[in-house]
Amino acid sequence: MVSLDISIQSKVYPNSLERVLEGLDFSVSKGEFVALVGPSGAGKSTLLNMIAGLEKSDPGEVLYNGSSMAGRPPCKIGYIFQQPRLMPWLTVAENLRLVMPKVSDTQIEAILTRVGLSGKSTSYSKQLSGGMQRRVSIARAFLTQPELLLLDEPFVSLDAPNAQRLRDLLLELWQEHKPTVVFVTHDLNEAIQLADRVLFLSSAPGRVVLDKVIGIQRPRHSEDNAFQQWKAQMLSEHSGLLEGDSQ
Amino acid sequence: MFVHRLKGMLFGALPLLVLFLLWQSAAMLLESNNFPSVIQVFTSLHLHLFDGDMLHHLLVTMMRVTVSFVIAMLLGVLIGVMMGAFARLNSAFDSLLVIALNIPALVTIILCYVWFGLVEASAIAAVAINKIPTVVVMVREGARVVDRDLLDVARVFQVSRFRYFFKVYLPQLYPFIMASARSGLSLIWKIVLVVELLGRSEGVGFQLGTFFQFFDIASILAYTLAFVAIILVIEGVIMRPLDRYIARGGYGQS
Repeated sequence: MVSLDISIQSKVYPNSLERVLEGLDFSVSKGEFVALVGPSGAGKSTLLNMIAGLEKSDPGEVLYNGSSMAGRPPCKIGYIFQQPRLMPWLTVAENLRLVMPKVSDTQIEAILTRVGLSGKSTSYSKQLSGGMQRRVSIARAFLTQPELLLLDEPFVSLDAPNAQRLRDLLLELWQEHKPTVVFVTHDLNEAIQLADRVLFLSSAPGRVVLDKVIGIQRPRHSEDNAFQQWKAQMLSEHSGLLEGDSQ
Repeated sequence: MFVHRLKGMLFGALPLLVLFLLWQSAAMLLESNNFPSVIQVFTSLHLHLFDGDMLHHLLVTMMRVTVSFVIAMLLGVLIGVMMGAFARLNSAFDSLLVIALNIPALVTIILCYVWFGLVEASAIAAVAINKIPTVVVMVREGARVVDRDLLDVARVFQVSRFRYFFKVYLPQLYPFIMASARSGLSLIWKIVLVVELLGRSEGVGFQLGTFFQFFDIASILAYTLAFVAIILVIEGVIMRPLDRYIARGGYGQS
């Protein structure tokens, strides 16, 4: 497992004067599930990409187990993107083998059965529904048994029952392997349902305005009293939070 | 199923039959040595194929086409990928590419023969040099529109460089490489004939030159038919199966 220490003074894209992130500091413990909630344009995806090494970061801005990365992140990362991003010219099994070449057919079938896609290993992504493609991307992320799992609004644009099924699946797989998770979402219910801790980001330039531990027993359902109370109390104490306001 | 396929083939052959009918009628009407009938051309084809050395000349030309095609594709893809991937390289070589695209094929052929002699290597080089710029342009366009999101997947999952290139990057260029291969084949065999006409003593181009001196139009058309038939076979046996392979999973189709 891996712990994260993030300390970003300022993040500006090349050829742009606009600051995306500023004064952003937080830590994630090994095996912890942290949700990042913030308005559009708060730099959530940029932050995830910096953690994943897809976006340039300065030395000391992202620390893995207390050490800075040089080039590639020094740990196995699983990333579930907003779009499934499967290679359309590869079958489901080939997509999985791309990230883990030495995996056996039995292992592939096992993980596909786990995500409810038994018998789909020879299908191409165009032959699968949106929900099925997301399941493949979840299987791809978990197949490598990542130490760090990054999720960028993975269930957005899915219908409610499908999204709920995939949330349950994600939680189940996380509890089994216990990778460190950073989950970006703009849906507070989703964050409360899944995470150990929620970090609220301000509107651009993004910084953490509230860091809150969710002390509710799992499994959590949005219709439960404890869930509702926790959410209502937090929103009443911090009105304007979801718009990126710290007050 | 069989009847359906037969119908499809007949439907596809219909325009060709109409063309042959019109050609035959026109030839019979004109009764000119410069405009032989379909029957005369096919008779000539039969004669050259079974009693002449058409097969030898076809093979020589095909060898030249194959070698120059492979060289042009390999170098063109390599340069195209580099220019598409690196903006500085592209701006440095862009004007050179425009010049290369616009130099007439005949000039390249003459210069190659003059500078390197009337040898096989000059002929192959002249053909390849003519084709490389068009491959570069097509592949460069492909490399420019490569889906960065898919490349990011490979990077974040730390896919090896070999698999990154062959499983993620290159498949995105296949439709562009295929388009340049297809246009390349038709362009290359035309240039090869000119190269053979100007400086070789074997091959279809050389034969056409000889027939031209005798105004043997039936033989010229017989050789043309034979070569077109070969290209059609290549299209059916190599290009179409490759097309199907590239489009597996619906990639490249809307």
